[in-house]
Amino acid sequence: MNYPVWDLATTGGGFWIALVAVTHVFVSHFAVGGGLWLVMVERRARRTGDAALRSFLKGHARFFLLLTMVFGGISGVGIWWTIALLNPSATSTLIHTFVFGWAAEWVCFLGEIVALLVYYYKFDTMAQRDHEIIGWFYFVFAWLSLFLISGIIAFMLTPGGWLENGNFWSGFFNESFWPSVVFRTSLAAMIAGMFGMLTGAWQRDTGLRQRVVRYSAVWVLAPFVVMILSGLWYVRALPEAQETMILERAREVAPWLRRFVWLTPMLLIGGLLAVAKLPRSVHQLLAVAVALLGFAHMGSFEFVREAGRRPWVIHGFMYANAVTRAEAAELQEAPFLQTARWARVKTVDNADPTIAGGELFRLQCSACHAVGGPMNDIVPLTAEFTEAGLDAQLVGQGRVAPYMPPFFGNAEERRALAAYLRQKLHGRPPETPPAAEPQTPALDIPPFDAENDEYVLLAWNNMGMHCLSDSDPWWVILPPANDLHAQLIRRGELPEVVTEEVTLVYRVEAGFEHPEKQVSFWKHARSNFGLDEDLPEGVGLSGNRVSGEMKLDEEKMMFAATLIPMAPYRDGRYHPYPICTVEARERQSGQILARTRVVVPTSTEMGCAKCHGGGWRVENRAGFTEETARRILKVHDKHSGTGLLAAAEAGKPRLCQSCHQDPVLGTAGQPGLLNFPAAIHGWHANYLTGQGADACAMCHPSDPAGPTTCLRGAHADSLDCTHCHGTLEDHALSLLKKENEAGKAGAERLMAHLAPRTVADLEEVVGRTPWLQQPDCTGCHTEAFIRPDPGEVSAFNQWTGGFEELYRVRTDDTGSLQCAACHGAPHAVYPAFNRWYGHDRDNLQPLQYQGNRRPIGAQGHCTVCHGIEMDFSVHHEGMIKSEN
Amino acid sequence: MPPNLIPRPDVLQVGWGWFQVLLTVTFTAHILLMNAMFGGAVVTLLGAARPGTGGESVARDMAGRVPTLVALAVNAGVAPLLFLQVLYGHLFYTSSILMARWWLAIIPVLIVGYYAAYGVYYRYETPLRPLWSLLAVGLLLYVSFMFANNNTLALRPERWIAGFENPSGAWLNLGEPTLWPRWLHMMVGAVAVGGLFAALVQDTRARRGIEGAAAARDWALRFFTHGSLIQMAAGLWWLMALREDVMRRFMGGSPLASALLVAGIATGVWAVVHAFQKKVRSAALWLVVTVTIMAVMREIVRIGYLDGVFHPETLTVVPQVSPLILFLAVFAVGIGCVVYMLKLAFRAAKEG
Repeated sequence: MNYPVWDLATTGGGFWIALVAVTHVFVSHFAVGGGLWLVMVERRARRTGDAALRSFLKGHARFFLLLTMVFGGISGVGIWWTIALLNPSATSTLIHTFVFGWAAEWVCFLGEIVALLVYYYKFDTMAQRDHEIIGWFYFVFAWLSLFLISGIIAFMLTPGGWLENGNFWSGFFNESFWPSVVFRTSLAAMIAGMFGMLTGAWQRDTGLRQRVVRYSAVWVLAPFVVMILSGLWYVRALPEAQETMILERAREVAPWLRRFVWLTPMLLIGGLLAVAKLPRSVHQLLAVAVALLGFAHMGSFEFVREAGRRPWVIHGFMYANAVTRAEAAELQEAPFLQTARWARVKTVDNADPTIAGGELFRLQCSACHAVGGPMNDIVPLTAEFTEAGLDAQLVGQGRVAPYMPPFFGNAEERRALAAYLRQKLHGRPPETPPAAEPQTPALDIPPFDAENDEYVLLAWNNMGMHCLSDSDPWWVILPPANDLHAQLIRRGELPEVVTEEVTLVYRVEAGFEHPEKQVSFWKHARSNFGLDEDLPEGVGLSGNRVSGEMKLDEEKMMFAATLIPMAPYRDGRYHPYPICTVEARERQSGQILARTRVVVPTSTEMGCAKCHGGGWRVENRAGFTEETARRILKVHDKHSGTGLLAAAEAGKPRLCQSCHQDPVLGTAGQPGLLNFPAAIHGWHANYLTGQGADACAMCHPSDPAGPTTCLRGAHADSLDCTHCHGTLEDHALSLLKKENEAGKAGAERLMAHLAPRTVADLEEVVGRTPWLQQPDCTGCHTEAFIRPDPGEVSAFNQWTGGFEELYRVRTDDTGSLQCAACHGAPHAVYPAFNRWYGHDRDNLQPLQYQGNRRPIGAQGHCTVCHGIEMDFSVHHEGMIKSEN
Repeated sequence: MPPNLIPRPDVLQVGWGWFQVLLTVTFTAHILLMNAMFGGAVVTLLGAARPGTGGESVARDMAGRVPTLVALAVNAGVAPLLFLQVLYGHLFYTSSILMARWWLAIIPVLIVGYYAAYGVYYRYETPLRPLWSLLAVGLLLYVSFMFANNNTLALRPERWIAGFENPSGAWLNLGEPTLWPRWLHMMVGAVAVGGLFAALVQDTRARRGIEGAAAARDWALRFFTHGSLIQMAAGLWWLMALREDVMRRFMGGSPLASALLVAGIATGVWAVVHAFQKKVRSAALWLVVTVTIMAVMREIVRIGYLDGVFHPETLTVVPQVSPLILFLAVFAVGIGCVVYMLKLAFRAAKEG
């Protein structure tokens, strides 16, 4: 950055520009249209011999002179003053590019002044013809001023070919120049009519008043057609980026656009009413109302026009904070403070990063944002984010929300700015996540008599962690719905998977029996899941409770209890690892054949609050607060134009996937919308760019230091989320690419600023269907399931062909044993290490059956099922190590 | 001074000499009109307080002229400010930002001052006239003081470091040794020139034989004669207050600068001599010559202060001549139109 920044903490720059510009622009348009009005009325008075009208005209000319030449003239200089103080770089560009355009406009200004002074001071002493000639001179000079200034103002919105050739004429006669000139000319005529009504309505001579007001009302009405047609021409002339910014992207503009659209017919109605013969007081009231409406109308237009060039001050050349496109490329990751000439602080002091953060705010943000002021106040805009959330917002700035410039600077500076916003502007202390404390509960492992027991019962959770959003009064992503699978094996030299004449029951451990007392899922299930009637408390979506009987899946030769409504709370505390006891019983006698225990992991550590704030509902570590849930809807409504918050407040919360199709829930969603995983990962990848597994942990319960740490299986030793799923950018692109190929409109926007990190480019990313195409185990375990070098592995892009190839439903080579039966649940494959709730909480069955933590049958423990040692790998290649 | 505080300037479309000439010429026009405006306002204030004298006659006349002079002075000020920004914008914007609060306040102050000038005119016969008059003079003084601050600050990048520490825009260049003599020189000069302008008007009336006009002229002319003598002392103070290397340019160091100083003093004295002899038109003519010389000297001072820091000849030129031709054509047509309009106006005056 080239220039010092005026510290305008309270008001910010935008307020002053808006204040000076809108008032000046209204008066300056009057100065143009009013000139024509003067000569036309004068001619009318001459032709009709209307002495009263001519006398009135002199008074109006005085009003015109005092308003346009004093206030209009000086406030015009004031705009120059203001922009030079607030954005000297842009001002310098405008001055140097159009210096002779400005100089020509100065000549017109001189002509205007001389003409108006002569017109007014010689009103009674000049020959009428000469006087009218002076009036015409005035109008022509004034209109030429409008013509010249329009070129420069339109240039800021649409610089046209100037961006390539730097040529004066290319910049001046840009895309929006001609429609802008016609549009502004029509506005100028309307405003002239408004002021004519205003002075006319105060005339005591009733006839004169009626004539002036009616004539002026025609001036308000007549240009309407031109204004509307040129307005449409204006919009059509805009390049796509500017048009999209006005009509779709810049959300804050919508109210101004609506005001402009509404005020237009109101002005028309005001003008039409004024044509009628009305009492003086009504005319006065109407004239004031139309003038105020006209002012608001003009102001709305100027706001919308300014918004169209967001985030630029000169579109495509210089951002609103004076960083040019050429500089931006160099500043994306480089230390910004070092390059800013007028930065008082050059480095981030880790002891107090808010000092550098404050300087960054001043340099990069204060041109538009106030601190506690009337326009673009940064305080409420940042109130609903945590420090991490603000950091993410800065990362995403200029991407999916393109009305903001990108943040310039390195990660340290970005975090310093986030710290300043949160700590200094909101008075919040630095954020430190609550430390989780390991527990060492006694793990009740059922006994197993290797010599005499006839059965082995293997049970597992199908996902390794089921997340649920207990935000039900507002919205829901996932209900309490855990799947528990089990296989019963009759031991012997040739073991047999037992599916007949037995029943399998499951029972959750004490403290977890009443999820309906923990979450409000049941109160809102009908609305959230579109059910015909209320769901009985404690009963899950498939009819299962937290204890019950499992159903046989004959095809997979296993028993399953689906959608168990497990909630991760016990005694008011967060506990994501409830244990179920599973028993196999002889159907007829009820005799227990085998018993085991298994973790049914379930988590509400969904990290929305980490960025969106609102806090955690339980123990400051899990669960949705009302505030967080509300904020999510609010931000969705803001960006997607939905009305979800109002619907939820009216008692009609929704399942996110009711709009965004999702294979895991089997929802069809709304045609054309991105599927849910593509939408949510695609959106957030733009805000959590450049990170590793820590990006995953911002939302999922995978933080190694968090209260859940869901990745706890053998892979956690040396791998993290990104080794299988790719980085967040990779992950998102794999989902978005398939949606883009399917013609989903939203994908391209989310992909525009994302680059894959695990592979070279987007071409190499293999698109996939969420949930059905996941990392394939054989992508890394290529030969005989040998452990590959963890330093070189990546399962990204090596997706399963479909649902049947997923680890969680895949079987061994015999087709009878589920992979997870012996290896454990995904994300918790044996040997697992549960950091917080007992190290062996996820290893109960290996410990029960073989006294170690290895997969069932590993390390020569074939005897668990076979009773004898085996010498070949029947289940999968490489199982018997001696074979290799 | 941290050299990296000086912003990078932008490129020019034609050689810097074009802009330097345009800047100097238009500034001369502006300063003459500004002097007539401010001096006129002071003469109005003081003259109106002397009922029954030539002063009152001058005040009545000038009260109607000052608002027009404000309009013309502001307009004539736009052009040099534009050309100043082309050559020295990177320095001028910076100094403006350092005193941003004071600088931006010029706009509302000038609007109120301008309306106050109309207040004097339209409310001349009311008891509020002195208040309007004082308000106009006071506010215009504020504007002039801020211009003196900014123009001196833009020449002293080494002083910017103070503003660097205080970005609230509340800073003024009060420690600058040339500030006070420069402002005093300008303002006393303005009062003198305002007196001469009023005298010129009265002289024209006197030539038409209007009663009391000669006395009014003589009353107004004293502002020029006496004011010029004080102003010369202020000019000497300013000269002495200049940074030594710059001052030495006018003391023989630079033949051109020294010659201009001598010529400026000579023509100024000559103008005063004519004024003492009641040769108002000659005095006015020599005054224009003096002010033109002083405007050139002012540019020499600017370039001298910036020696080693910046010179506009170092600016990059990416030639584009057609916009200059556009301006010259518009200027020629515009001036032609103005002349025609004034012709129509004066024809009306004669007829009226």
